Formats: sequence, structure tokens, C-alpha cells
Amino acid sequence: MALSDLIDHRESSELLDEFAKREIRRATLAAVAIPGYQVPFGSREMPVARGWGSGGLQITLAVVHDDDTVKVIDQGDDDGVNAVNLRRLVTSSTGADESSIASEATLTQSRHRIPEDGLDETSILVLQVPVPEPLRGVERDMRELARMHAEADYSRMWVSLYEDKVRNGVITQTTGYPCLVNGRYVVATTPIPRWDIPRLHNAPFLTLFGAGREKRIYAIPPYTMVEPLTFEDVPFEVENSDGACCALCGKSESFLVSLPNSTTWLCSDTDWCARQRPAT
Amino acid sequence: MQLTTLTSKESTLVFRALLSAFAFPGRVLQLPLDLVSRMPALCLPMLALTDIETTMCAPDQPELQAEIATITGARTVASRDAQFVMHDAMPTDETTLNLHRGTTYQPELGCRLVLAWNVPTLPASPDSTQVKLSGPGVVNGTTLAVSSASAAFLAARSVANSRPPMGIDCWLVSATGEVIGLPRTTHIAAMSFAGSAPGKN
Amino acid sequence: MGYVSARGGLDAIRAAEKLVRTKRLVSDSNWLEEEQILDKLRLLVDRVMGEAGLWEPQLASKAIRQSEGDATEAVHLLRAYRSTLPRLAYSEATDVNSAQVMRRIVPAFQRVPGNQLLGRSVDYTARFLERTADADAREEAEKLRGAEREIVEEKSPPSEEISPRRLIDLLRDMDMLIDRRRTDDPEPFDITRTPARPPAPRSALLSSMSRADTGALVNQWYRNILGPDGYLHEVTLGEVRHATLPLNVRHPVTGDVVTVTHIRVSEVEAIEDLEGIDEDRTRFDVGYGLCFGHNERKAIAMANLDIACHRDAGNTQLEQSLLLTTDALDSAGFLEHLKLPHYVTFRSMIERKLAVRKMRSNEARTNDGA
Repeated sequence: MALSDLIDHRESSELLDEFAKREIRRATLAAVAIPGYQVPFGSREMPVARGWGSGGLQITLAVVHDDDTVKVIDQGDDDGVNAVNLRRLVTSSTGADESSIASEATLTQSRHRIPEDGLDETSILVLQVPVPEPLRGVERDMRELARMHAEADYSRMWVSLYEDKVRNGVITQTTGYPCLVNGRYVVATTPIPRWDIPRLHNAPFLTLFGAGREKRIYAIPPYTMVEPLTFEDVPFEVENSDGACCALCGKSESFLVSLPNSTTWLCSDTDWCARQRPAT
Repeated sequence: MQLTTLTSKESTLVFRALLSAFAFPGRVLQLPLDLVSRMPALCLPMLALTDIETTMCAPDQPELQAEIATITGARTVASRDAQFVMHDAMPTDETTLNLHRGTTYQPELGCRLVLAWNVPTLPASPDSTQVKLSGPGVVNGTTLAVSSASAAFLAARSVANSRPPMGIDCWLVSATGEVIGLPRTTHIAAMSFAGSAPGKN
Repeated sequence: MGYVSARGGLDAIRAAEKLVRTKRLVSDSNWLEEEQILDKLRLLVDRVMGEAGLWEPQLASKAIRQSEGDATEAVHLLRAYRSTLPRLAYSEATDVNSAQVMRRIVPAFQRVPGNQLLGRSVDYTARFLERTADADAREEAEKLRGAEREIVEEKSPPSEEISPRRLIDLLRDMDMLIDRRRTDDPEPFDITRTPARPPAPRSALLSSMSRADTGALVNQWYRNILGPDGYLHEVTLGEVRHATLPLNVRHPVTGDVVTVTHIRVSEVEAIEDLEGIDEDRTRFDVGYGLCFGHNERKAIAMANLDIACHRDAGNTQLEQSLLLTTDALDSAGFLEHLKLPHYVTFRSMIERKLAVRKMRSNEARTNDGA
């Protein structure tokens, strides 16, 4: 690169310099080649704070060009303020188009949900990760954590799940359920609900996970085994809503969230919900 | 053909093809045609991905190696130490087996190998073998036609990838810019025995 | 429909931005110039540059003004800006002995070659809150400015005062110091390119601390002295310096080493009395601290924690704490992310609680029936 190429950056609205993008791309390629392994990268500071999607944003900025269409959601909602903020950062700095319809988007960046439909082989899903370490609850020392992953020694995780089941009668893991990817690495599936976990298994789309604060990228390639950790006689349970329906669209097939009164339920995926309702 | 610095968008487009190649191993994808018409397709992965913070090596092509190093700023090192290695013919077994495979603690240090690939013409020549792919990203029934020289390389590759998660990741690039990805997770098994010993997983 | 946490997305954000911007820019008081922040709030500027890892006082002033005085927010602005800048070159290693000191004290000895130079410091100034009227203060300022003009140019101090020999060099002469100096010259660890995790090279630890949050380092030091974390020995300070250092790079065309700018640093050498069972009781060891600008408490904490970490030798998680919990943006960002919507996770938690209750009531009914 000539010095003059670099100096031109001053006029651009780019959030990341070219070298940063290359580094993220190299890390992303390694992540896809080693499914579930947390690849370290020199995570740059972004206009959004650490913990607010800086990792997901970096992946998106490294992947997207101006012919892409981008969907950004938070809790399944395109219109949540954080999703809006991230989306406008992406579109303004990359020139990509935006859409709320997952099947129209070539890349979906999401916090805590997988869109109910619309993701296929042409889609890339980028999940924002607050804590990429699935074993954090059973071990605090990072040297030991590195050893456990390197040696595929997940025994402490299994013991902790067993004790959970024995103590509480059910496995009480809420979101971000630990899963074994490609039979090798246990991953933190970010705080997506258990509802979304089965959709990671053998998916037609590539899923990239960005943890900006902890400076790790990992991936689940398409058509890859993703097995939630559980026991043979303890089937994996998704969130139960006792047959509740969405107050807006009337359906029960999507992940529902409730109002504090817990009798009114609504689809978390707002775009899916809108498409179930006849246009008025 | 003169090598030039890739623009930001060109780098992104090349990267996307390489990413899809790893996400869907064995699938034939296309590098941007206008780039392929301007410079050797084999050079595009390195031009898109390397920079002053990476190491590379193109031992068969010292002039191209020097040009790429100048354009990207990547450091030239011996192939066993390089993060990116380029060959315009199938490398010897010794070369393949000496490429860095990473470690159990740092599997990401495994080498990315860019190889020239001749897309076999139809009908399949007597010299070619069909191999079956499996692993993450591979759609059932994906096969590849490989020449006997390639079969030998694939056997060496299997050895290099015999202790996961360590291993090497490859892109096969044709002169017309078709690219196939073979990340270390892709298993390759022979389907038929033609000519010399097939690449067997 | 108001069921999600903060709806009306883009409109809400735009309204909030307008409110913040208007309140920041429009007021009855005088316009706050960057120069004023640089001149009058120099220590805040220095602290922010140090925590951002970016030396550019003008930009730091802008950031402080834009952040309305929130130091961590100013650090975020600078670091995010830094992310847009390509790396043009690597600097040459700077010999800290080429520093020119403006302030230099050596608590370990009463007198030292090159002298104790109190310099610009409030250490021995009585902390009385000045309540003089503005008009009087301005009058005093004018008088002082006039007096300054009359001062004759003093002859420059002798070089052994500007670049005094370090105390550790003198201790080495006395054979009082363990020699841990490396004979090889490994590449320093670049924390901006590779995240450091234990076990990490010393350069990773030092650079992490160099741009750590000041409060975090001071707290780490204090809780190790008095808190539950562990017993950390109090050091005797060797050098405490506020100095300028040249920043040198190789000219891209001529290949000559050129000085592109000067930076100011706070530099501390902490002398550690070794009293562990396996340690050499006949000598001292030393810890090192260096950070941008005039920020002595940070450099002192850093030097103390450097030697503490070395002596800890991985027995505790001190290294992990220093490498991973002292960054201003990581900690504040993650803390404040709790303000983001969490209703999907919360709904999942409620569901599990109900599942546990159901399981328990099923078990109770089974037991009753048995």
C-alpha cells in the first residue's frame, strides 16, 4: 500500500482501517476452518461501547460491501434503539442497503435471537457475544480454561449440568446454552434462547460470533453438528409458553415474550410477526 | 499481467469468495472476473488477505513473491514458517508435511495454502479420480475430480490434518479464477481407484 | 405499541442526539476553547491520553470537551478514532536514558547524583481550597505574567540534571540489584493486535498497565496491600520522573532515524525488598512503570504491580486481573451494557423458574401418592 492510499482515509466514513479489516477477515477464516474455536483477534474500539456489539460490528464491517443488504436486530426487533444505532453505522460507513426481512438480507447482525425464518445458504448471521467463554461458570482461571479447550476436557461442565439437574429437577440453564460444535469445541451460544439452538444444527447458513470486549471470533459453518450438552435421559428443552399466542398475529410458532402481567404474549421477531398479519 | 494493490471493495469481494469457499468446501465459487482478467488469479487470495502483519512465501515463483510482498507489505519467510503459502503446482509431500499446522492451544496458526488447480475437463480423463468430501459445510454427495498429482497432495494433506484441531487450510484456484475451499475439517475419501494410489482419508 | 424497552428506534435516537448536542453547545457561559482545556486541565488531558493509548493533546482536549468532562467517554472517543487510523510505521526503541526530566525524585536516598528536582508538583502544597474572587485571581495572574517577562534567561541546567543517572544503575554499581536484564531482544507484545492472556510476556503486562484505567490500577494496588486479594509488598521508590522523550522512526526514503515528535511520560522504578523463601535476600529487585503524560499515581501503581506480578510467578490470578480487568473501556462498557434490553434472557429465566416449580410440585405429588 502506498502512503497516499492510506492518507485518503481521512475523508472516508470508514470506522475501521483496511489493515484492521484484513486481520478480522483472517481471524474469521480461521474460525470457519476450526468450528467452535475462539480465535483471538486485535479487536478495535468502535463507536459503540464494549459490551454493546463492538465485536459483531467489526465482523459485519469486515464482511460487508456496498452490494450487500443488511438486517440488524436486538432481541428480534429491528426497531430497538441499539439495533437502529448499529444498523445506521453499518449502512452509512459501508454503503450497504438495509432490510428488516431476513430473506432479503445477505447479512443479519443480531443480539440474542436468530430470525424465525429467511436464512439460507446465501445468508451470513453475525451474533453479538457478551461472554464467549462457555466454561466461565465452572472455572475462573484463564490458563485452566485454555487447557480445558485445548484438551477437550469438558468434564467440569458435565458435572455442573448434572448437579444442576439433581438439585433442581431440571437443567436450569436459561439462554446461551452450551453446545458441542462439530464434536469438538463447547461454545457459548451467546444469550440466544434455547428456542433458537436447534436452528443452529445443520443450518444452511454460516453463523459468525463476535466478542469485541473479549477479543474473540468463533464460527459455526453451515451443515455442522451442533449438540446442546445434555444427558441421554434428559431431553433438551426449549422455552415453554403453555400454548400462548401472540396478541398481534395470533400465532404460537415463534418465540414469544410476555408483558409483566405474563398473560399477554408477543412475538420477539417483530418482522416475522408483521408478515403473519394481513397488510392493512 | 501486472499485480496491483486491491481496492477496499476488491479485497472484500475476494474475501467473500474465500469465506464461502471455506463455509461450503468443495463447492466451485468464482473470484471477481474483472480482477481475474487483470492479474493471475492465484495471487488474489494473498493480495486480499495479507499485509505488513503477516508472513508469506511463494517458493516456486520468486518474482511474484517479491511483487506481492512489496504491494502488501507481507514478510517473506520460509514455507514452514509462513502463514500464507502459494504454489503454482502441487507441492511435494515434504513441503506439505512441513507447513505449520498450529498447536492445540493455537490451532489458528495453521498455514493457509493457495494452490493452482486445473479444472478437469469432461469427460473425466483416465488420469483422474473422483473423491468424496464430508465434514462441516459439505452438502451430501459433494465430489471432486482430482488428477493423480492432486491425489498425492490430498494424501499428504490428510496426514497434515490428522490431529485436529491442528491442520492446514487450502484454497484451490484455477487460472480462470474458480476457487474451491478445503479447510482442515474437510475429509476426503476415494470413491474409485484409477491409476496411482488415491487420496484416502 | 410500547412493549419493547425503547421503541420508536431512529426517532428516539435522533431526538436524544439533538438534546445532548444542543445542551452541550448552547449555553450562556463562554465558549470553551480547546486551548483552555489543554492549558488549564492538563492533568486530565494527560490522563485521557494515557488511557486511550494515543498521544495527541489537541485531540484529547476535543474529546474531553465533547464528553462533557467524562474521562472514560473521552477515552472512548480517542480510541474509536484511533481505529480508523492505519499503522504507518513502527517506532524505533527509545532509550529512556535520553529523557529530559522536568521533575525527578528518588525517595530511596537523601542525595543522589543529578539531584532531587521537586519540579511542578502539588505534593507538598497544602490542600486549601482557594476561594479568592475571580477578579482577584485574574489580577494576580496578570502580575505573575508581568514578572515572568522580566526573568532573565537562566543558563540551562547541567546535563547530569536533565538526564540524571538512574538509581538502579547506581544500585548495580553497588551490586545491590538482581540482574534480570535479557540478552535477547524479543519483539514486544502488541496488545492492540493480539489480546493478551496469562501467561503473557512482561511487555504485554507493561503495555496493558500503561494504558489501563488509572483508578483501576490504583485500586488493584490498594486491594493487594490491604484487601483480600493478597499481600503485596510496599516498595521503596527509586525514580519518580516526569520527563520528555523523543519518538523516533526510520525515514521511509533515506532510512535514517528521525525524531518525529516528543512525548511526555511519567516513569517510576520501584525497588523491591525480596523476602520470600526462594528469593535472593542479599539483593533488591525492581519494578517498572511508564505511562503517557503527567500521571504519577498510575506509574507508581504500575511499577509496584509489575514487580508484584513477577514475584507472584503465576501462583495467584494477579496477572489475569491486571491483563483483563483494568481497561477503562472494557470494564465501563460491559457494566453499562446492562442497560440494553434483556427481555429475551429474562423471559427465559422466568420460564426456568416455572419449570423448576412444576418439577418440584410434580415430585411432591408423586411422593404423596406413594
